[in-house]
Amino acid sequence: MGAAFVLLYAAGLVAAGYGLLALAPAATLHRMLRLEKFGAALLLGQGAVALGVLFGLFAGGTLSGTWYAGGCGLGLFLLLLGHRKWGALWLCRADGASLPMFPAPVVLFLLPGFLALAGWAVLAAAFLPTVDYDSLATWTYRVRVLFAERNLYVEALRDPVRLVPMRQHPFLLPVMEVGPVFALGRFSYAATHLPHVMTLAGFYALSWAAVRRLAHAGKTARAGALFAALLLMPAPAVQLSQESVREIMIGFYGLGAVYFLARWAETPRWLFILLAGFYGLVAQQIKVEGIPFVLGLALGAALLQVGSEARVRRLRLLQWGAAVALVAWLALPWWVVLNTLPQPTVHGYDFSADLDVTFGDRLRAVPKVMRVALSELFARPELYGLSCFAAIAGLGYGWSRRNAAARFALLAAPAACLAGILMVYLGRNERLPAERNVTFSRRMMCAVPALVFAGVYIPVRARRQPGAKNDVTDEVDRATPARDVP
Amino acid sequence: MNATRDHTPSNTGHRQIQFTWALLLALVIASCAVWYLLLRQPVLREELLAAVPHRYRISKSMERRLLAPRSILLAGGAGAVTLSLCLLVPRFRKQIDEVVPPGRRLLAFFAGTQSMFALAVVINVQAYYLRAYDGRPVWKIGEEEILAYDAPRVWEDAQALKSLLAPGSRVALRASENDTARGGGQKFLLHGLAYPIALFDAYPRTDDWTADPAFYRVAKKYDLQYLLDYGRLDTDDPLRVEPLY
Repeated sequence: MGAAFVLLYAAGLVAAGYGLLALAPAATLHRMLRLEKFGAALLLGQGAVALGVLFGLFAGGTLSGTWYAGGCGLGLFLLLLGHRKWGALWLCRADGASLPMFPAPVVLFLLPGFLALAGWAVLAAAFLPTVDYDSLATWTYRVRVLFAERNLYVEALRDPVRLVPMRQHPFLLPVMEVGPVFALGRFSYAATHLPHVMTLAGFYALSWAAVRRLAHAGKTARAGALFAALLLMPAPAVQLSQESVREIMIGFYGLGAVYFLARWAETPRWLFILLAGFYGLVAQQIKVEGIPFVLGLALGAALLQVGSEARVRRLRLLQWGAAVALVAWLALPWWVVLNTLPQPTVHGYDFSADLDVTFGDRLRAVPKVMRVALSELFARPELYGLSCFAAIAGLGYGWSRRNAAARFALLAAPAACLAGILMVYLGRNERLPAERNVTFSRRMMCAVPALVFAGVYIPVRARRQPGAKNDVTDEVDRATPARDVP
Repeated sequence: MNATRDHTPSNTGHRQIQFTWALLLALVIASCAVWYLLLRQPVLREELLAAVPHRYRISKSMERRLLAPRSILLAGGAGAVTLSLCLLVPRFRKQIDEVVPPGRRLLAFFAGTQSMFALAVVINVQAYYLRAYDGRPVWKIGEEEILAYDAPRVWEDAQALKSLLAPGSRVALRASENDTARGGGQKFLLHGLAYPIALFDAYPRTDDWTADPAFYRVAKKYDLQYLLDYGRLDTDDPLRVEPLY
């Protein structure tokens, strides 16, 4: 019975995601692939419901399963309200969606690897607890506390002598994970894995959608490379049971953010930039690595203003400002709560402390950290296969003045995240034992999926015929008054 | 005799393509066999591991993370079978010739290799659980069994503590080890696994706890009920619990 409730809850989250998507104009939904909408709904439903519950907890409410049911119900209500868009959500196929992507023999090669990874991810989620140290000591502990005590255990957070409050890490992920635990009625590691598997499915759906978009644009080689690099990368599926999941979740949401930034680079639609911003915010609310990511994302989106026509630039600027405001507004409550918490006696690493004294040591650690980073990216076939080589090849090939700004923009968020991680490790090398560098692999998962995507994907812009309407001009005309048209 | 031979350019090209694929098949089989043999050499294996300086050094994790020789062989075998299938089924062979032009062969090779890596990793990770849990598949291993295996001692100690004290007990903890390295951060692991017992990072510096004013203040403020001196390596009595009052 409990398992049925868990499945019902999963369906509710998807419905909530679709309900929120139904707020977008039908014209935008019509131009999205069904896979794209499915992936967006998976990430959006979970993120939005969890964020709503988190705000309720910040307000001092007593957590219960009805909060999650209410969140899903609200999404379902929005979906029913937008019943006129159901066709745009499910029935309509965007251009090119029916194109055969790969010939049968190529699929024969690719599918076994993909099915093995996806199958293992589901199997591992259903039967294996995450045995990573931090997961046991901190993160699943938080889930247990939320489930048993129905609050954020503010006493522990405010208590500097209590072990493992980890004040520097936000609470969104445990809130996301405890939803299925409520549905099941008891704590279970399998239940906590439900959001991870759903987000992995969203990651696969968006990656596949990107492949289809490239294939439809005639970039079949790039599409094939993206398929192999992202959908056949072992780490996202395998690390869910082998390492702590929080960094991998940042990686999944990070890919969603960069994917929709790429879509925004192609067409300045409100939905795309708001989705990119929201996914960036979720990444930031999962763990501290999300902060450089979301800052890089904002920088990348700002880069896309460069070189566009005045009318398009005006629209993009407006949309960018709205997305930044949305992210800031949604991130604010955590910062308010955080600033009321005292510094704990344990787990209070500050890697920027004594920067003036340790600056020279940190500089000397650069070659070592670079070696660690490069070996991680290029010598871990068991984690990434050859994906990072594909990203390098994709980056080096196909640059033009026309797409340079967009490609830099896509790279900004994962590059900022990577830079942040490397900066931390420059400090860690002096402050912590070398064996702590083993955590490098799981932290790299924050940036690698988005980095590979940004390396291989090229925004596909519709060609603008003189005097003819296309996707971009449609959006600008709809958004700007007629007097602006010369 | 010459009449039976067809030297038209299309047939020559076709034979060349067939030769390319046959060569690729031979390469896949040969490279998998070579890697299988090389990875079975402990010295070389260690050298390869050292190429990534931050990889886990403990044997258990290496077993799980490294592409073990057997998994490479199995995945390579699967790749070779698929490739043979493509070569043997005329429809597939024709499609491959048409759809994968010479300029794309590198990409096809990359995709095929990536797929084999994926397969090998899944075989490897599955094999780890089979090896570690007496040949049982993952669905026949309980969550608690896995926790006990991966957090040895501290899982049992946490369960013992839960049986000793009532849920919600508030305990001042002193652990003999305070590191957070994998398998060694007992203080924090015990805290996480012993929930709903609440452990606090405080301990008296004097035999009589009331004589330590700092601890006395903390004990009163947080309503502490027990003292726990935790010695993970003490096989006789790792959990030394005494009530404060």
